[in-house]
Amino acid sequence: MDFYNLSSAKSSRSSLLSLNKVDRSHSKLEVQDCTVYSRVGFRGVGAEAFLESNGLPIPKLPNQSLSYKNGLIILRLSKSEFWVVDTANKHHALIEALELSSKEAINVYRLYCQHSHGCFLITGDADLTVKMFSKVCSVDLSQGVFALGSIAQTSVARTNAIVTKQSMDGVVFTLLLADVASTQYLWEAIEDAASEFV
Amino acid sequence: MGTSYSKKAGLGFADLTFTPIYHDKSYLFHDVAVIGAGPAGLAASLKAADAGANVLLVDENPMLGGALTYHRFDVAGVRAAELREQLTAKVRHHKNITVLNSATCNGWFTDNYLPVIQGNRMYKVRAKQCIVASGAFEQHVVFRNNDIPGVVMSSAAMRLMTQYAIKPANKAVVLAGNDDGYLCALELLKNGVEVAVIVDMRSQSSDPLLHSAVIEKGINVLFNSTVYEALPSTDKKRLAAVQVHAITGRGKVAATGVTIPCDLLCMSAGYMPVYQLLCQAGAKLSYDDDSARFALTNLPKNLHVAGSANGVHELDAVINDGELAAYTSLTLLGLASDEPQPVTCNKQTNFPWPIFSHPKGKDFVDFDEDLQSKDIVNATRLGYRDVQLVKRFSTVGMGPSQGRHSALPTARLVADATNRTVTETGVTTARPPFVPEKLSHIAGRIFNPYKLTPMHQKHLELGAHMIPAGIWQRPAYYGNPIDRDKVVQQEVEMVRNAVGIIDVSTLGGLEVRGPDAAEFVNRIYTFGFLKQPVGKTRYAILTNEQGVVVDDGVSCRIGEDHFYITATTGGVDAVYREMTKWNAQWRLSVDIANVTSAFSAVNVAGPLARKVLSKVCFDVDLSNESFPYLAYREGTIEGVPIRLLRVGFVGELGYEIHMPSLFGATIWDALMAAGSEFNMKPFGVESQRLLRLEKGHIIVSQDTDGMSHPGELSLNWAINRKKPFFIGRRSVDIVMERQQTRKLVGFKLSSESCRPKEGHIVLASSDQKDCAITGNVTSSEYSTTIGANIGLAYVGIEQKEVGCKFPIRVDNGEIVMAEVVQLPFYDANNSRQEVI
Repeated sequence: MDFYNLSSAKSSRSSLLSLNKVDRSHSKLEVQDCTVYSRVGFRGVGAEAFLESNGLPIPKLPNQSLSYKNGLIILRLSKSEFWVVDTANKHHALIEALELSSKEAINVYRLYCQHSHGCFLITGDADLTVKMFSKVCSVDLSQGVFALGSIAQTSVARTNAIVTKQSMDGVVFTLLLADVASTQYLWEAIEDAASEFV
Repeated sequence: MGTSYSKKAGLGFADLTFTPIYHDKSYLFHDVAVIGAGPAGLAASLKAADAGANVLLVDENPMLGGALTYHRFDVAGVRAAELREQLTAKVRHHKNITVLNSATCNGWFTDNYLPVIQGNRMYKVRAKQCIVASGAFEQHVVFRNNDIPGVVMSSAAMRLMTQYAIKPANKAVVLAGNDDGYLCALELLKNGVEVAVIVDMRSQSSDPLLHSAVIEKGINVLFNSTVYEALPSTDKKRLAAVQVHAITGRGKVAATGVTIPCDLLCMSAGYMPVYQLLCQAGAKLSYDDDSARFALTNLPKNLHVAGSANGVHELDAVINDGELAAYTSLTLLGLASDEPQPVTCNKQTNFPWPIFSHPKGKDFVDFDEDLQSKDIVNATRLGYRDVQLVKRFSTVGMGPSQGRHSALPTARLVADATNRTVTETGVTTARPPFVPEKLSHIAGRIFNPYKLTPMHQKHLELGAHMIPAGIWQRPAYYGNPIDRDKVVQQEVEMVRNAVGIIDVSTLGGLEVRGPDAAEFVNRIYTFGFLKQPVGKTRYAILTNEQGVVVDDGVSCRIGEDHFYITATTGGVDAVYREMTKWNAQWRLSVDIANVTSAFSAVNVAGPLARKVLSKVCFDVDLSNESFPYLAYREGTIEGVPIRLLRVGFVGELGYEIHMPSLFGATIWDALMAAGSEFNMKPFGVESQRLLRLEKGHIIVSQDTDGMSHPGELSLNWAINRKKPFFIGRRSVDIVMERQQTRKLVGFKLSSESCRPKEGHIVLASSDQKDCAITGNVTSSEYSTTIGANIGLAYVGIEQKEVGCKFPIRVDNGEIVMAEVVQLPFYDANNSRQEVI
């Protein structure tokens, strides 16, 4: 069977989000749906070496992320699982090439996070972001506890989610990745939680 | 009074016109949570915050300060206000302190998990350290008519004067068991209330300066005396006078006394710690009968008590005690701080026996439940010696105040009646919540996740009637629910005669990759998979270790070391969990991924399915020879990659098209456009259930239960008995060797018969009323294709033969006779799915 690339056909991607019912104008926090931006994941004992051989920096510890090249975020979710996420919608070619090159890699299994997960980017006042998350998540994401680059693999509004804090051009943001089928639900839950911060 | 108590207790009528309002929850994370913003709580908060701890200060009152907001601590009456001003100003401006006032910490749960209710929000506080500085409740004196309006605690009178600027009466008597009664008298005087006398139950004051101060103000003091009876006004609505008697012994008074007119009686008999949160945490409340002091011990690690809750009552000592609790917390947090001086406090606040039972009664122990001292004593005489039994027999402590004032006199009376100490007697168990909480605080903003497929909006636009399928939303059919039966039959006819499309994205998806992938799949599922050819699909059944069928799906071999396996919508997460659990033991070289959400899928089914697909998929030879039944192929539609499974769940030529989810909507549109020429329309899950029923295909969890083994389901063909192992192999062998007791069979009823519903029971006999239940109906529907009511049911083993008629008890107890028929109901030769 042919190996096909799930990072392909970027223009044919559609987010599962329908924004008809949601009024976002009042909140001090901005939630951006980045689901159609490119990302890919790799798992396996060869994943770390594979990414390094492709010139990507690797977080040294699990549950750490780092920012590389204008919004390209590399997440280390376990000893042998890595996701490369484009939060700026600028790195499609790199990610597509990375996925293709994994075809020949030994002990590297690609993960379909492009399609399995929805992706939200949350910006705005840092304290308000923490307060908003405290309404939907039982992990302490406050400044002193959840440093830049930390990852929480947790439950957000009772949905499995990956949360990391990163920055781009000096602007700190929170990246939220969760089951793509829950995109609409989670968006509404976040909007509801953020609605008091006007 | 009765109405007010009822309201307080939450009794009354439900207001059906009530409009629900928004309630929600939020987590808070703090190094130290301080419960109570009295002097101890304020001092503890400041000490902890100064050392760098992140502090949460919780108080149920709108104003910080606790007793400092109303209590008089010195003769001049200036200390409390000054200290409150000083402490609260620091707290308010401290960057490390978050204040929640008008907020109640309603319980203590393991590891300092504290529900705090403020307004419409319940905060779920996680605190590394918790300091309970909850204060103490003032206790009343038990004497006749102590429930007349005008008989109050001294603290209540001081609250009225200090917090609300209300003069509580014109002429007061103070009944003191401690020095706080004297301070109350001074405060009354300051607010223009004449103080007729201080009736001190003690033989002397412990503070000569305080005694001198009240004497200087012209207040007379009667030592060794008590109010034995309160006398009501003629209309019985308020206090008119008190009868004061000399105390002659413990709980005993002289036969005669003096009557003192007054319209207010302030009682200062002592205090009981607000122990509820601490005892919820497992603390032991003890009482020294000699000194009449309380102590709370056996606190769990990281929980501390300070202030009057800790039996410390002198103001400086209270501050000191708060700082000491903070210091202990800081030490456990690893934060440096100066160690405070040890706390010493010799102030005795509790009069040992403030109970003066009256032969005429009305000497209330529990105001909520109207319980007099004799009620408590009588309970013990009837054999209810344990305070827990006394509570349940007498209902003491069960009213709105939950024993805040009745617990101590009850313990004293029970102890006395049973010849035990108060400590031995104890108090009843304290359970959360501390104060009544609304269900809306618990229920408010509960999260109910749901999942949508990529085609959800398309379904809505097409008029789908959506139903839940586990956490997912799926179209049941496309049309008005009023026309449900008609719409379902039309959709079925469309699939049987032309072509239809159904969204099956909710199907579970699992990928197994790696050198040991085939070995792994072979161990998990019952069939043989080692020799499954690449490009082929194979039915896969999963049994558990008890040999019960728990899931099924289709295994696609994409490569030698790559399997893509579908699973049931509701079962996939459990299957994934099982897979990872087993491989933790087997250590096979595989990667297991749950790709359910990564792939969405549709099934294009019907005699014209190939024609539809060929209009959009050009890189796969769709002919029957190149792409036969049960084959697997990969290709593209609209330039995006797809996986094609030729399967026949609904019994017609059909292609399951699995595509990466973000492409789902694009491919749906392409297929709908391609199918328009053939009048292809979508069909829903209820139509699909009928279609598969006509083919006799089971749905795991609908047609199976917690006992269904493969033999009962006639799935012997899907069990490979030659391979050495699969999960549940041993149990499957055992249960299938045993005498079978039931069987899942297809049944038919004439269309005129009452149609059984899923769940209706199968009986052993139609004649006997109380005969055995041999099974139940699992699937049932009217089939236009067959022209009859058809279904699947478990029947007794003696009822399983084709042609056998068996009774089903339907609604209203009616019995209908169904006939066992050979499965499938439709297309026995499977020729429909082989359409050229």
